Amino acid sequence: MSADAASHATVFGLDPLWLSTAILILSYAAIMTERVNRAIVALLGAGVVILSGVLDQDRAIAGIDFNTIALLTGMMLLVAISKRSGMFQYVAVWSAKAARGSPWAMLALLSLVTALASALLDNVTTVLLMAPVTLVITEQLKVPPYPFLFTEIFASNIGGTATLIGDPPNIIIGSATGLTFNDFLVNLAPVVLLILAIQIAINHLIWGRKMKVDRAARARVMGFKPAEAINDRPLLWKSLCVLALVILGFILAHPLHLEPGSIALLGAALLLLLENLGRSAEDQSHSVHRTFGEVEWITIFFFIGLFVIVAGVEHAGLLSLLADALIRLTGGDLTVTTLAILWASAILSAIIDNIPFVATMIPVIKNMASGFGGPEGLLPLWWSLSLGACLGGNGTLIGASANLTVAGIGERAGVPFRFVPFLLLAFPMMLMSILVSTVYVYLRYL
Amino acid sequence: MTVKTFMTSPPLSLRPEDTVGVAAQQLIENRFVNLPVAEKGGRYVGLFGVFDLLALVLPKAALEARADLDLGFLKDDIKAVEERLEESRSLRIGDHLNTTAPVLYPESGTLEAILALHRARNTLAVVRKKDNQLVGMVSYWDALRALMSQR
Repeated sequence: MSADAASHATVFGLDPLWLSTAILILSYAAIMTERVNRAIVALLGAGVVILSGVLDQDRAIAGIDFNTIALLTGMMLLVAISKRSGMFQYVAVWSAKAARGSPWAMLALLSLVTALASALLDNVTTVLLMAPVTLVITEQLKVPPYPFLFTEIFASNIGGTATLIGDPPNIIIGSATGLTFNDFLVNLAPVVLLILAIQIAINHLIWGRKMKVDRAARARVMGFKPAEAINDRPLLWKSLCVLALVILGFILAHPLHLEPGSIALLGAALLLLLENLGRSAEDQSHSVHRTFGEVEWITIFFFIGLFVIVAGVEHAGLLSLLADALIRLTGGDLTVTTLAILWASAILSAIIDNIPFVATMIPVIKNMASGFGGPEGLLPLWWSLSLGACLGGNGTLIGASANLTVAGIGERAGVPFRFVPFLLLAFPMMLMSILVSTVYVYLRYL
Repeated sequence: MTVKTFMTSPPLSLRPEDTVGVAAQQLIENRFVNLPVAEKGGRYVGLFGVFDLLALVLPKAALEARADLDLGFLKDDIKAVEERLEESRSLRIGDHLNTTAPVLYPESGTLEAILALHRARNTLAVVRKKDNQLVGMVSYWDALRALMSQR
């Protein structure tokens, strides 16, 4: 049934357009209140979409982007195994030592390491592994940990913007549009590097200049033994080899005619094999069970439910109506539309979950293709959506999962993260990063 | 046989307002792994033991279970650890309790108690079901002695 036909049909006496819109709005509202787990909300919403007849089961399943699901699951499995080697702890400790105990140099190095790791792995895992080591190191240095944790939040969201696999919005955009790992790297990495450099300079002005350490603290840091952070050397090499192969696979995905999801899952399977080779069947079951247990199933099922809800509104015709309205509002001008998407995505992503927002915006933007000369003409819009949604997460404490993860670790270690003080510093810094993105997008694409 | 038959009653207990120093003294003098903590009126609030004491000298971030951190990279500095322990001496134990350990009831059965002790790997408090009043304490030694005396 076409979108037009669907919008004229009725379900339980209700117009599917209104029904699917109501499901979307209610799901969004429930996700925002956080009273019910977001995976439960998304799956319930998806269930209602199917039960009410907005979509039949086949269409609902077709609406799930399995490439995104496979990419997320594969990367989660890879990280779950490789983190056991202690490699992240090694890098963090090495950074502190390389900074020779200078707090400012350590702030900059930890930022760079966090950004790089976030570009290649998921942000939450990166900060989950970096933040506790950072707290231990700052305790040894006797310097306030807040600036370091704050900087790591920013670095993780900025770094994640640079690649297809760095942040879930990019994964969804890449999968829906066919934009490759290289496309993201070539188009977003330059501006990300620029924003990161500016961010580090600002952090230096705000905090770096004031932090001082005494000789004893510096000696303690110079006494660190990074090699002791490696728990399992064979696993470290296996993990590094497989991660390198996976990244190479992402780079060559287009000529190989492979989707990133297939590459990530294949890499995960290979690392699982290497980790379990030579073990008894029972040990293998135990090990694989443990690794699968570390997959964030809440996120995976949240995505599944969300894709069905968005497919419902798309099928009912709401998103094409929204696209038309947006084009009318911006007068069909590419520059105005691109910059409107960049700023609206950034501000909204600071307040609401950027994953449902991006999932909803993708079909809206796709529907604009005819107005902007076909899919090629939409490229500035995709980069704006990605920059806005990923960088916008830095605006508030609830803007991205990584922010809440760091805040949680900080709170438990006696470093309070309060919403308003964070907002007062983070929101202007986020706006600055969007301003830089605006100049970049304008000069490069418009 | 129920827990009531082999629990230590009344148990030696601590108050939430006791300091870490006082608690450490009691734990060392009586060679206990854990001691129950009860409010003035006798209501049980949690356990405080050797592992809670040791946790106080560790960097808090090292206790973040999900990070799976080990501290092998740190240079051993016993003086710094001693200083930390000294700083902890005046802390209130009420802020550092283990409140997640299971509790037993006087009428709990022996197997139920052994399973709880096995799972918690800990000495456990015995409380009255209706008002959570601390009435006893059971260690794995108590359970073992009770079982052996049955032979």
